[in-house]
Amino acid sequence: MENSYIPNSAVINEVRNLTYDTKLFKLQFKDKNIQKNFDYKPGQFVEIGVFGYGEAPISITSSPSTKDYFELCIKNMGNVTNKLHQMKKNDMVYVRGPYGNSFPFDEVKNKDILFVAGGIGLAPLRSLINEMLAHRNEFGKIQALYGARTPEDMIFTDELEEWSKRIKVLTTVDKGDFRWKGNVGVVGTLLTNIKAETENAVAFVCGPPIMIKFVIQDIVKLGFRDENIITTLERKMQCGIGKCGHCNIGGKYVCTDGPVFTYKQIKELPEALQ
Amino acid sequence: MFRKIKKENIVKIVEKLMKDYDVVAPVRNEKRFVFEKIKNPEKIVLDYDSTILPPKKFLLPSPEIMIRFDNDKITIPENNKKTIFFGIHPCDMNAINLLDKVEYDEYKDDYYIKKRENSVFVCVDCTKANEYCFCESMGSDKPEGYDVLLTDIGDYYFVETGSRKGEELVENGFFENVDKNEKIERKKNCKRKMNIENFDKILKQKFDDKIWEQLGDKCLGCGSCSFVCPTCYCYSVKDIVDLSLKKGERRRVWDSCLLVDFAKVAGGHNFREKRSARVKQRMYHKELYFFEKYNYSACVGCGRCIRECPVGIDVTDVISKIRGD
Repeated sequence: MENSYIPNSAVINEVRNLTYDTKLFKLQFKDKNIQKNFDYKPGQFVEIGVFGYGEAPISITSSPSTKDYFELCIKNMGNVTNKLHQMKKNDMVYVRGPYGNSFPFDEVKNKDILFVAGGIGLAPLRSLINEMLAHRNEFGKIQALYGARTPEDMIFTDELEEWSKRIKVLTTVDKGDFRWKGNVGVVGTLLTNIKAETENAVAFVCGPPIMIKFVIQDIVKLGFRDENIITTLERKMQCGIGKCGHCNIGGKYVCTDGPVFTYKQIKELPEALQ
Repeated sequence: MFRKIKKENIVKIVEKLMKDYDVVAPVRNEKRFVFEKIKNPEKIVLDYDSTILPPKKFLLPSPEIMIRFDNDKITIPENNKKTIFFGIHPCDMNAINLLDKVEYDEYKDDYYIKKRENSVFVCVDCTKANEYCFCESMGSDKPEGYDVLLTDIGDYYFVETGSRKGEELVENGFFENVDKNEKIERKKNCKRKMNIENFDKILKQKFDDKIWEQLGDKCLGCGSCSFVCPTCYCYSVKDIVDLSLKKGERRRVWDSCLLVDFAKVAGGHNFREKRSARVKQRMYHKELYFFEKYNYSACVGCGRCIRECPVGIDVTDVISKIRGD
């Protein structure tokens, strides 16, 4: 029997600063076969670890069409991520996964898609956005709204620029600076700037818990049905496989039953949005 | 065909088993009892009431080394020693049956399963319910999942087997064959009683009840109830390194949803900051979430949490209050 807790070694191929506290890690399993067979879907996460520091659950931000490597967007938040931020190209990390369910993909083909991301919440959605753009003609109108605290906190600014050539992209910051000429206000305010068909449409919302809570309310007001509003929940996770108990809410483990939930499911889950 | 074993032969059979197995059994520890790896079989006490810690201290030990690392070399600790749990009560056996549901679920917990499958369970039916026990109310007084079951019938234990492992264990001269079933059905002996019927449905309506605030005010958030609970399986993982910072162990230790940072994520947000929310979580997980998933309550009524709670929170009392009984 294979031991689910034993990670595989992966090499850091590249580290890119996205902001002052967030880096993009390009990783490759040392074992070529493991890398080749590493099949994941947008929305899934891995446990990335450094021995001596521990493991952290991080969503995969690359899209599955990238076969030779995978990417994790990591904000410096705690022990493990702080250590990761000190690491460089060619350093070794340990990875288990992929874990969790995933965003619906085939199920939302031919529908209009609305993405609403806050802060680092763009990381899991980036995987899905790029996957959808790779199959652009299979989806209806795609719009992406992104909000960050300040212009310095915005991640994937180059890609937002790229995407805006193919889909409607709007950005905002909670607080601007002297160079910022764009929208100011929380991401929910962007919803008033778009035209969204809600009948045959799905909204994906990712971000900090407080942002999710308010944005979902706004989206409901626009007319989206509960089952067509999709989000991811953040919780403390240690095992990633439904054993350690930390991410339990209601009858679910966020690690194995989630992290992706519809608003319809969330309404039935005590403690989900707080 | 039935079997029985003379009480005085228990020491002899354990001596024999000790050659091939680690034998874990209840022994006296001052005024209480504990499960211990037996060195001297004379110390085994089979007519005990309850042990301080349940058998999970061997099946899910704390700490448990998951991985040893040395620079880039990883090794997994191997322990293939066979263990006999000798003299565990039906409540604790039923708790192990419940742990199995979790550890053998979608993903398998390799550490637990290896130990579980290297174990033989010799249950002894309970004759000494103490003032905290309420297994009968939970239906977990009925022994299930044992390999061998011993029932006190006076000078003898009546012997039943529940598995091939059990059959093999009783194939020797210490066990006498008897023609008729001499088993004396145990009388119900729990003084503490509680109505658990439909409690899952009742809990669904009580999420915002004021009782959780009241309990939160009383509870110290110490986690004792979880640590002594035979079905609490949550754990936390820690890496321990030596001075070189290159060599060390990844360990897991028991954790509890009552402890303040159980649901706190990196960055500081605590999803269950209030003690009332944590007290509630433990009750809901045991009596609703586990029930919904596996069709069993995760409480076996061993009473250890009542006995150990430093402020006297009594789960039977809490459940009765919630029911409005």
